Amino acid sequence: MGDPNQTHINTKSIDQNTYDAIVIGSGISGGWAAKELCEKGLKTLLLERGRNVEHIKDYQTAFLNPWDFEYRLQISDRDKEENPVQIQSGVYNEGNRHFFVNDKEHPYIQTSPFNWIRGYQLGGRSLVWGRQCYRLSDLDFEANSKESIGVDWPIRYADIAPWYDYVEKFVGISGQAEGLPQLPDGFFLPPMDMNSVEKKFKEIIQKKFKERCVTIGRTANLTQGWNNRGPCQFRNLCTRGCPFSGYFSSNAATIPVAIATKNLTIRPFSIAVEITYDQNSQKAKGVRIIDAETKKTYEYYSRIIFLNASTVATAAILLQSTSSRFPYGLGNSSGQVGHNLMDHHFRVGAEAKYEGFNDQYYIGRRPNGIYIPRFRNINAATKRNDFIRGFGYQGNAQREDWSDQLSDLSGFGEDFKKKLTSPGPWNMGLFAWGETLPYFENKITLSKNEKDKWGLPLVEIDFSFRDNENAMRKDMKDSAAEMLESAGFTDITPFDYHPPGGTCVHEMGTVRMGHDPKTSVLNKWNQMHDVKNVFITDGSCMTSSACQNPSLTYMALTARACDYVVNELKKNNL
Amino acid sequence: MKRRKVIKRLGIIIGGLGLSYSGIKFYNLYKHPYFQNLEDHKDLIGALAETIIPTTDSPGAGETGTDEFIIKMIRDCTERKAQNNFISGLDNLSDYVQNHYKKTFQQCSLSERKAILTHFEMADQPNKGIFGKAERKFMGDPFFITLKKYTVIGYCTSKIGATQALAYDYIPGKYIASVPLTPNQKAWATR
Repeated sequence: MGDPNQTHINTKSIDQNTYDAIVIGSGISGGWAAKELCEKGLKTLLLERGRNVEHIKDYQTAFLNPWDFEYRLQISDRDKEENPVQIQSGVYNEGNRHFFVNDKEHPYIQTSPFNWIRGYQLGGRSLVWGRQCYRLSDLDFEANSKESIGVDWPIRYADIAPWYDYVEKFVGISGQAEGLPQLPDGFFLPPMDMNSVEKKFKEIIQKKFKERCVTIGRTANLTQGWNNRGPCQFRNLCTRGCPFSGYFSSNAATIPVAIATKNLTIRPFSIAVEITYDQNSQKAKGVRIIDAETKKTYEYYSRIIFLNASTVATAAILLQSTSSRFPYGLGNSSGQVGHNLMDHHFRVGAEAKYEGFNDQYYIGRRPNGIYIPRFRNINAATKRNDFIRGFGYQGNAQREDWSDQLSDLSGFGEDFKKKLTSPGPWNMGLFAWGETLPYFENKITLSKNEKDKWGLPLVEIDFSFRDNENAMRKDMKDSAAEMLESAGFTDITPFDYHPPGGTCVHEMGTVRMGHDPKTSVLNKWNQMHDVKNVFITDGSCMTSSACQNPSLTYMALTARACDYVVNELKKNNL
Repeated sequence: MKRRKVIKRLGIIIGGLGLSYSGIKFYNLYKHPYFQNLEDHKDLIGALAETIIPTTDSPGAGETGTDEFIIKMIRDCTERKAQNNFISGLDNLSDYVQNHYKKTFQQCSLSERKAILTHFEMADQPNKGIFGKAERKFMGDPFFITLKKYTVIGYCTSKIGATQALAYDYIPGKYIASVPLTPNQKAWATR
C-alpha cells in the first residue's frame, strides 16, 4: 500500500513525527508495551484507532442504577439492528455498549460465521474483558511438538514464568495456589470465598474424582488495595469501567503509569494503515495512519514498532503493509500471516439445582466464579482416545432470583410476588472453555473489492471448529452433568449452544511464534523473523490456544519482549 | 432470517388458495403492529401489572410506572410476532371481560380480575417439550407470557421494586460468601 508519489519529504515534520517506539493498539497488550517502553525511557507513541477514554471520568454509566436505563439493560431492537455481532458477546448491554464498536460502521465479511467482537477506544477490550487470569504450563507449550500439530512453541514455561510473576505483581490477581502442574500457581492476592454450595461441590468432587480440582477463579479484581488501585467493591459492574479501579484495564493501570513517565504520547482516532518498510536498512520505518475523523493521512517514524491491534486487526495491518520485498504483507515470507486463527470453544456444560442450604445466603456481588482446571489428557491416566488437549470449567452457584424465576414461576398475585422477591432455590452452572487446534484453513484475508469508509479493505474471516473440538464438546457437556450429579444436584440440564467462532473473544494465532522463519512469523522474542524491529505480542502470536483464558500470557509475553528490546537497543542490535 | 422468509412464502402460498384461516393468522403475526393500541390500553396494562404484582407490604407494579415500561418494551424490544400477539391480546382480553362481566377489567373486583388472569394464563400456557418450543418459535411468545415477563422485569428493576420489595445494595464494598438467612429475607435485586 506504499504511496510512490510521496517524494516530497519535509524533514521538519519527520523530526516532529519521530519517536523511539510506536505501539499500535492500546488494549491489554498494547497498554503493557506502552508502560514498559516508557518506563525504560523510550519516547513512545501509542496509536489508538478509537476515541480517548479517560479512566473514571469517561465511565459515564458506572454509577447508574437499573432504573436509570431506558430499557433497564435489556437488548433493544436498535441494538439487534445496529450491533447484531457485538450483542452475541453476551456482555454487551445498555451499561457498556459504548465500549463496543457499531457493527454498521465497522463491517467485515463472514465467509463462514465468526463473531468479531471489538472495542475501538483507548483501552480497547481491556475495559470489558472477563478478567480471568491463568498461566499456561509446559503441558501447553510442549503439546504441538509432541503431537505434531502446527509448529512448536519456541518457548517453554521456564522462559515465561518470571514474566508471569512480573506482570501478576503489577496487575494484582486474586486466587488460590493449588500446586497443579497443568495450571501453575502465581503471585496471588487473597482469594475470594466460595459460597456454601460451591464449597460442598468442591469437597465432593475432589473426593470422588482424583484428578479434579475445584478452585476459586483467579481474577484481576483486587481483593486488597494494590498499586494505588482498588480494592474491588463487589458491585459486579466491571464492564462499565470501574470508578474504584477495582479491576485491571489499560486505562486504570498501565496507561497512567506510562503517562507518568512523561515519555508517552497518545494519539486517538489513528487507524493504522500500514507499517512502512525501508529496503536499505531492511527494517520497518514507521506507521502510516488515517485520522478516523478527518480522514487525513499521517506517517510516524520510530526505531521500534509494537503491533498490538488484536489478533484479526494485527494480521490485517500486516497484510495491508505490502512492498516489493513483501508483496504478500510485511514479514509474511512464511505465508502464515492471517492463518491458524483460533478461538476457544465454549457455551457448553450443564446447569442444575441444589436442594439444601436453604438457610444460607451471601452479601455482595462477586465478579468471579469457581474454576476447574483441565483434567483430561494431562497424564497417561487421563488420556482420551476421542480427542487431544482439554478444557477447563468456570462456574458458580447462586440462589435463584427474579430473573431466573421469570420463566417458570406460575401464577400471579400475592403469593407470586412473595416467591419472586424471596431468595429462590440454589442452582449451579458449569461452563466449559475448550482448546481449539490451529488449522491453516481457519484464516483472515483482505477483501479484494469491498472497502470500509476509510478506503481500507474489509477483513474476510473463514473459520470453523472441527472434529477434535466437536468430540471434546461432548465430553465437556457430559462431564459437567456427571459432576453435578455425583455432587448431589438435581434437575440437571446439560446444554451445548454451539456458538460460532469469535464469540468467546479469545482470538489467537494469526501471526504465530515459532523456531523456523519458513513456517512461523515471530521468533521466541515475539520479534518478526523477517523484520527485526517489529514486535507482536497480542493474541496473534499464540502458537496454540491452550484452554486457559489467554490475556495474562499476552501481558507476560509483552513485558518479556520489551525487556529484550531494550537490551538489544543497548547492544545496538536493533 | 431464512426461517422468516420460508414462513412468509408459506403464507403467500396459503394465501393464494384463498384467504384461509392460516393465511389470516400469518398476516396477523407479521403485519406492522398497531402501536396506538398500547397507548389506548395503558390503564388496562397498568391494572394487569398491578394484579400480577399487587401492593402488599411494599407497593405493587401499578405504582412503579410498569405500564409505561411494558409499552416501551413492546415497541422497542420485542420481535414482530410477539408484538402482534400482545397487541391483539389486549383486545381479546377487553372483549372477554366485556362479554363475561359487562364492564372493563379496571372496574372488576379483585376476585374477578384473578379469575380473568387465570383464564388467560391457562389459555396462553405453552405446550411442553419440543412441540411447545417449536410452536413458540413459530408463533411468537403469547400475550400472557409477554405481559408477565415485562411486568416482572419492569417491577424488579424499578426503584420502588428494587429497593422496597427486593434488597438493593448499591455498593456492597465486600463479599461475604455465606450468611444465615434472616426472617422475611428479601432477595437481592441485582447480581
